[in-house]
Amino acid sequence: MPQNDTIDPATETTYRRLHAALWLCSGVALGGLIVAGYPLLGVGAFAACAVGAFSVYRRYGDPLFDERDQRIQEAASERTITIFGLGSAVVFPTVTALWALDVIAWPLWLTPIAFFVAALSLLHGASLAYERRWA
Amino acid sequence: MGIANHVRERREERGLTQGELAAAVDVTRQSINAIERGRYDPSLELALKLADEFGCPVEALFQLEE
Repeated sequence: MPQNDTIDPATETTYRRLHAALWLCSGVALGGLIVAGYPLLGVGAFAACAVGAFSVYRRYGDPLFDERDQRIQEAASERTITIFGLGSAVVFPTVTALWALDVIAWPLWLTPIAFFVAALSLLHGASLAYERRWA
Repeated sequence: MGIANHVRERREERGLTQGELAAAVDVTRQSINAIERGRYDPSLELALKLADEFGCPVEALFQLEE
């Protein structure tokens, strides 16, 4: 239940932005410091920002996120998986056909992406099966 | 077919701010604002909570648009 009788718009916005900024910082710090050659520092910065984001979430007495945020998240995830799926359905068969016909050399950088897409598709399939079981 | 709602009218009749209504039904103020502007259709649970808060049937608060 909410702790306050009302929600101050400015406070709510500030907390939401701070929460998002801390998660963004955690990713940027991790990636940036790894690239800069300080991987352990990167992990530490990531953990510090993540703890900070969690603290912001806990410290805010009222709901910081709710069903509308969840629906936005679901729509964004659905769009992402659709783009990945459609993109993969076009790119991989096309590149494979061109490679098989000796038109192009297989781009080596595409192999890890192909495995990633395959793993993502398998995970998505498993998640769908799980959701259908309980729907 | 969209859903029309009378949340803003009911809230103003009761003299509540968006923040007060949000706190009463346990959601963010942004969600109340989005509902009032017709940009977000709430879940059945939230619609029922809002109707309960205003002491009216849910169909008095939300209607299918023609």
